[in-house]
Amino acid sequence: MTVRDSRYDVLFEPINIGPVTAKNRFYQVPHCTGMGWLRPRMLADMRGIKAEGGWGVVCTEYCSIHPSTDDTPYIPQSLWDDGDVKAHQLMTEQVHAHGALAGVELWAGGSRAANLLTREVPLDVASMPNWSNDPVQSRAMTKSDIKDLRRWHRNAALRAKTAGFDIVYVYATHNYLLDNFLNPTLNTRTDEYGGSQDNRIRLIREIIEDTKDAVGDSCAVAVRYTVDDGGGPDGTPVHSDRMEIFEALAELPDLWDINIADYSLEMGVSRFVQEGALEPYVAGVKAKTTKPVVSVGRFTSPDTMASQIKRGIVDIIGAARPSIADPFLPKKIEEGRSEDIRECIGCNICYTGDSRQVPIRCTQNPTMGEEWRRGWHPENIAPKGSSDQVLVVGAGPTGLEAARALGQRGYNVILAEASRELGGRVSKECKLPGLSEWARVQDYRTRQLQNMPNVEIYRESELTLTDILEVGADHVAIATGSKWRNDGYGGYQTFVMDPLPPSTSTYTPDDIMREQLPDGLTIVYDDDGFYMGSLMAEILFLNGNKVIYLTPHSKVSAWSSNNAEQSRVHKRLIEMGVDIILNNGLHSFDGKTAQLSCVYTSRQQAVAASNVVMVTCRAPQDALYHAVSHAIENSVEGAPKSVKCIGDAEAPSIIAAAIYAGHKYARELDCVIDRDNPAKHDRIFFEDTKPMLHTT
Amino acid sequence: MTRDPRYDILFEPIKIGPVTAKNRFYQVPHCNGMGHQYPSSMAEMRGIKAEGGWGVVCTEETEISPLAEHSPTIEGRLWDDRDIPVFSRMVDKIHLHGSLAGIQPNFSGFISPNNYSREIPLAPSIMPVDGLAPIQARAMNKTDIKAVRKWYVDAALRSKQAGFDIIYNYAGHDMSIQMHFLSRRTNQRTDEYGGSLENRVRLFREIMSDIKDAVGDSCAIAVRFAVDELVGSAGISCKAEGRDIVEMLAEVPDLWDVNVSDWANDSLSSRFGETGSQETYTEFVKQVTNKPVVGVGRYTSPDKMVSLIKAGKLDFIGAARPSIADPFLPNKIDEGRLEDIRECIGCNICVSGDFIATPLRCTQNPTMGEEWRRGWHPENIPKKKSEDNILIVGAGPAGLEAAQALGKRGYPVILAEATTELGGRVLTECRLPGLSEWVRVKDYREAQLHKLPNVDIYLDNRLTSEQILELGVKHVAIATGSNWARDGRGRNNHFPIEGADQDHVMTADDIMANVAVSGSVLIFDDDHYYMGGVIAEKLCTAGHDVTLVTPAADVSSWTHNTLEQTRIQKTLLTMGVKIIPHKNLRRIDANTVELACTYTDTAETISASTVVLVTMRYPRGNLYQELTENQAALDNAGIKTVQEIGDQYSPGTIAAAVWGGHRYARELDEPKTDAVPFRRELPSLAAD
Repeated sequence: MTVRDSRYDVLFEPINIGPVTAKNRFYQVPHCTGMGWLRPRMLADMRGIKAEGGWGVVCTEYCSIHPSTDDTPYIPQSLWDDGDVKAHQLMTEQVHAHGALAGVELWAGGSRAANLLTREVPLDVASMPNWSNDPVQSRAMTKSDIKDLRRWHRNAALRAKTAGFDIVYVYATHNYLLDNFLNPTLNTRTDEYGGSQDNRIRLIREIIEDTKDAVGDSCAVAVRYTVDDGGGPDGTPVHSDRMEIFEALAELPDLWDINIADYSLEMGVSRFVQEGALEPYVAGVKAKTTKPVVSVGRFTSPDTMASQIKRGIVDIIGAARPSIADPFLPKKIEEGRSEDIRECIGCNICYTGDSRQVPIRCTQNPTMGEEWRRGWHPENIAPKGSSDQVLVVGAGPTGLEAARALGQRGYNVILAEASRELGGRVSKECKLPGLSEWARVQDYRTRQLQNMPNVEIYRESELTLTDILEVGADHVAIATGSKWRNDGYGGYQTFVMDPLPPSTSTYTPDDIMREQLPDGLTIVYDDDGFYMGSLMAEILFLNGNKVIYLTPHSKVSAWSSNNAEQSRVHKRLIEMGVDIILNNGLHSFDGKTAQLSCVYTSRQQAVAASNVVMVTCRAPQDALYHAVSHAIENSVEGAPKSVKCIGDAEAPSIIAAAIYAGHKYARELDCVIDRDNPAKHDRIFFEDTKPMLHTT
Repeated sequence: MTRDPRYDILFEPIKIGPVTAKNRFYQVPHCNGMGHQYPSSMAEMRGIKAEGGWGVVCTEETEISPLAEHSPTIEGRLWDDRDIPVFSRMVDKIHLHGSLAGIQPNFSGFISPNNYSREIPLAPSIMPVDGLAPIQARAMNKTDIKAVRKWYVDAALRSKQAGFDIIYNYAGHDMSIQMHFLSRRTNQRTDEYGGSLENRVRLFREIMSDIKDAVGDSCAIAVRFAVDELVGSAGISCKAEGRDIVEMLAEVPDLWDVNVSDWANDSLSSRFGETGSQETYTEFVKQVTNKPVVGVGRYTSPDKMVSLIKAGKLDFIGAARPSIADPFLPNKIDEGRLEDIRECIGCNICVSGDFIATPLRCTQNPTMGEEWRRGWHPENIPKKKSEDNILIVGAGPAGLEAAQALGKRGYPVILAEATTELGGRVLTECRLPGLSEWVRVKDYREAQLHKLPNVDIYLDNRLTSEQILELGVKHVAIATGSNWARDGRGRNNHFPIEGADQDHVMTADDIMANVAVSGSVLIFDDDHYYMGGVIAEKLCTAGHDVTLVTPAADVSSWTHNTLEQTRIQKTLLTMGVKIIPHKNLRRIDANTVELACTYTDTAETISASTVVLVTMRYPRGNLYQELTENQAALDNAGIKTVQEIGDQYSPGTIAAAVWGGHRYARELDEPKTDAVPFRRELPSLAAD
C-alpha cells in the first residue's frame, strides 16, 4: 500500500470538540437520506460504512425532537420518546466500531413543517403560512410554548446521549424555528424574545445552555448556523447582523457548523456552483471564536481541503455529497490513493431521495443505499463465481461500470466501444454548458480500468452479431445506450405526431451534441422535464439562435425541483431572453408554423418558428440484444450462455440508473437472485403493543 | 328506532360467487395514506367500517412485487409471506362484524417509477413513467408476462391465507398493468398481447383465470374495471371497447365493480361533480352480465341508493368517500337514524392523504385515521369526567364540533355565536361557486346539537371578556375563527405589501360578504389552496375582468392533492380569467400594481382597479389575550382553563378546524403530558 502524502497530514490531526475528540478532520455533516426513522437498518449500515471509510465524525440527518415538529411526508429522524432510542443505537454502534464520533442534529421545524402526521399546530416565532404550500399556518409561540420547546429539546438531547451520540446539535439555520427567532423580518414579537438583537438571540442562547447543562458533560454541543443573509447584487455576502450574533454566542457551543442562507448555493449543482463556494461567506468566522469551525464546499480535492485548514478558513472539512459519492474518501487520502477517489459530480441526484422520500442514491456510487438491503459495499465485491469470460458492448456509464466491477471481481472482460471515446452519453453531456464535472463519471472508471490487466478495451469497435459470435464470450452484456426520439412521443403526448414535422427542421439533443445546430428561430420542445431541455435552449442561445422554450409543464425543467436546481435553471432561461411558453404541448409543426395546444383547454395557438428540437423521450438501442437473444434461442454456434441488456439500452433513465444497472449486472453474475424478493427492507413493527416493546 | 321498510332492499344478502355479503353496502378499495407504513391504523380503520355495517370492506390497492412499488405513496404491500399478518389482522377485524373482506392486488407498471426498489418499471410498450420522473419503463417480454402472472397468483394465495373473501382483478384508474394492456393508448405491442381487442384483453383474462384456479373455490373473484377513460376514441369508452370488454368477460368474474378513469374523473369533488356522475357511463353493465354489479357515486341518500337498485343500475352501493365521512352510514339507515348521517361534502381532503403520503383525514369525520393511534371511535366518546361546564365562543366548524362532542360526553355546554346563524366560515364559503355541499358540515352538527338538552345555543351574542367572566363557567374555548390578511403578508411577503391599506384593496372576506367591486380585478393568490381560484370564478361570473396573479406555477396549486387543479385552471381559462403565474405582488398603487418575477425579481407594472388579497389569515379578535392576561380575574370567576381552538388557534383547513374542536372535547379533563399523544408505528429492528 502506498502512503500518505505529508502535505495532507494536517487532515489527519485529531481535534478536540468539547469533551470529545475527533480522530481527524473529515466530518460528515448532517445530511438527509430519505431513510430516517422509517428505514433505520438501511440507515445504520450506510452511516457505519462512512465511519469505516475514515470519516472522523458521522452525523445523522435532521432529527425531530417532538411531535409538534413533524416533516411528514419527508423522512427525518426522530427522538420523540424512548421508543426511538434503539434505532439510533444501531447507527452509533456502527460508527463507534470504527473509532468515529456520532452526531445528531436536533430539529424543530417551525413553519417549514406542516405536521401532517401528528396534526399538531406548528409553532413558530409568529403565525406564518407553511412554507411548502400545505394549507396550514403556524401559530405564534406563547411563553408557555417556549418553555415546552426548551424542555422537549432538552429531553431529546438526553435521549440522544442515551442512544450513544457524541455530538448533539442545536440547529439554528435553514429557516427553521430557531433561525426564525433570529430573523428581524419574521420575529415581530414584542416580548423578551423579540425586538432587540439580544432578545432575538435569547431562545438560541437558552437552548445551547440547556443542552450543555443536560448532556455537556460527555457530549459536545454543536451549533449549525448561518453568518450571512444571502448574497448582494454583486454576489458578495451580506452579513447584516448575523456576524454580530455569532460573536455574541461565539464561545458558547463546542463547535460551529457554518452554512449559508442561500440553499441553492450551499447545495448548488455543479452546473451553477463549484467546489469551495462557501468560502467568501465563512471566511472571517474562525477569527471570532476559539471553538472549532466546520463548513462544507463539496470538497473532493485533498489539496483544497488542506489549504482550507492551513489558511485558517475552517478547522474541520465538512462534507455531505463527497461522502456520499465516496464513503472511503478519507481512507484513500490516508493511503495515498487519491486517484481512487470517486469524486462527486455535483448532479444532486442524491438530494432527490429526500425530495421524493425514498432512499438516497448517487450517480458515482451505485452502492449508496444498498449497503444493508443488498449487502453492497462501496469498495469490496465478491470474487468471481466462475472462470467465464464476459463481453461488454458499449463503454458508456453502464458498460464502464459493469466492466470495472466485473474486473474487480476478477472476471476476464472484453469491453468493446463503437466510438473512439470512452464514456458514451457522459462524454457528450459533459461538454454541455456547466456539466464539465460530469466527466468524473468516466474519469474514475477509466482510471480504474487502466489498472486491470483482466479487462481489455477495444475502441472504434462497433460489433455486429457475427463479431459477437466470433468473440465467443460466455456472457454478453449489451450496453449500447439510447437515442432521443424525433417523433414527438413523450410522457405528455404518448403518441407519435401525425404528420411528422419535416425532418430537415427537426433536431434532437443527439444532433445538438454532435454539433449539428439549426439556423434561425428554434423551438425547444421539452416533454422530458429534467435538465436536457433547458440545456438545449441554453446552447442554442449561445449559438446565437432565437429560442422558444415550450413545455407542457408549468415550470422550466419541472422535475429539477427535486434536485434543488429548478429556480436557477428557470432564472437562467429568462435572463438569456429565451421566450418561455408553459402549459402547452406541441400539436403540429410544418417547418414554418407550430400549433401549440393548451394542456388545460386544448385551445390552439400558432407560433412561427423554423426548427424544433425534440426533447421528449429516448429509444433504447437494443437491436443487438435481440439478435444475440435470438442466436441463443436457436443455439447458434458461438452464442453465449447469457445475454443481458443493461442501462439505457434496456430502459433509458438517468446516469445514476445507468451506473447502477452496470454495477448490478456485475454483482449478480453467477449469483442466484430471488427476483420475487431481491432485497431486504425495513418493515413497520406489527404488534398491537407500544413500540417500546420492540424486539431486537 | 327501526328501519324504514323502504330501505329493506339495501339490507338483502347477496351472493358473490362462493361468498355472501350480508347487505348491499360495499366499501370499494380506496387508498388511505396508511397501508404498509401504518398497518395497525389501517386495520383498525377498516374494522370500524365493518362495525358500522358495511357488508363488504376492501383494502386499498396492494403492491404485489418490488418491481411495481409506489414509494413514496403509501399503499398496501403484499410482497411476501411476512406481509400476511398485517392483512390477517384487518380481515379478522372485518369478520368480527359479519362483513366480507376484499383485497385489490395491483401490479402498477409504468405508474410506479420504483424510486425505492430501483427496479426498472414494466409496461406493455416502452414509455416514460407516469409523472415527471426521468425514468422510462421497458416493454415486457414473455418472461416478464409470466412473472407478473405468477406474482398475481402468489398474491391471491397469500390473500386467501390472510382470510380474504374477495380478490380483485384490477383494471381501473389507468393504474394497473391489466389496464395498460387493455388500452390502445399504452399498448402498442405487435404480438398476441397487442393489436386487436381480443389480444389486448388476453392478459386480463389470463390473470382472471389464474387466480380463479388458485383461490376461486373459496374466494370470490371481482373485477374492477374503468368502462370509460373519458378520452374519447383514443382510449376505452363505454360506447365502444369498454362495453365490448364487459361483454367479452360478462360471466367470467363473480362480481363487476365498475367506474370511470382516471382517478380525477372517478373521484370528482363536489365542486365539479354531482352525486351519481358516473351512472350514464356504467349503467349498461347490468344489462350485459348476470353477475352482481357495484358502482360508486358518492351516494349518501338511502332513497337514491334504493332507486339505483330498483332501476336495475346496480346491485351493490359502492362507496369510498361516504364510508370515510361516516363509517356507520349503513347502521344509521338500518336503525332509522338518517339525521345522524355525516354526509360526505366532496371536498376531497381525504384524497390528499394519498398524495402527501400521510394518513387520510376527513372534514366531516375527525376520527378518521385516529381510530387505532388515539383510540377515537366515530360514534362513541367517553363520558364526562367532571361536572364542569364549558363556554364555547363561536359556532363555526370548530365551535360546533366541540359543542356537539362535549354535549355527547355529557358536559353542560353554552355555545355563543356572534351572528344570527350557525356555521361560521362554512356558511360563508358554501355560497361560493360549486361549494354548496360544504354546508353539510354545519347541517350535521346542528342536527346533533338539537338533540342535546345539555347544550344551550345563543345566537346573536357577541361576548366580551367581561361578560365571559360573569357567566360562571369552568372552561372557555375560543373558536372565533380568522380573517384573511388585509396587509398581504404571506408565503412570499413577510412584510406587509406596500399600498395594501388603500380602499380599493380587498380580501377574500370582502368578496364573500359581497362588498361592491368596481372595474378590473386583480386577485393575488399566495394561499394556493382553493380560495384564490374560487374567488376568481365568482368575480368573473359576476362580469368582472379578472386577472389572477400567483407566485406558484399554477392556479390553486395545492389542489393537485385533491384532484381538482386541472379542472380549476381549465374553468378559469375557459371563463376568460387571465392567469399570471410565477409573479409576486410587490406594490399596489391607485390604478396599477407592480409585480416581480419569482425567479429574476424583474418588475412589471399592470393596471388593476380593484385588488383582492388571498394570502394568509389572522386569528380573529383578542378575547383570548384579554382573558389570559388577567389570571386573577379568571381565578375569581372560577375559570380553570381558557383555550383557543380551530382557526382562532391557527388558521387551517375546515378539516383541521373540526378536528381541533373534536380534540378539545376529547381531551377536556385529561392531564397534559409530554408523551407522544398517540401510539406510534415504528420499524421493527429485529434481525431479518
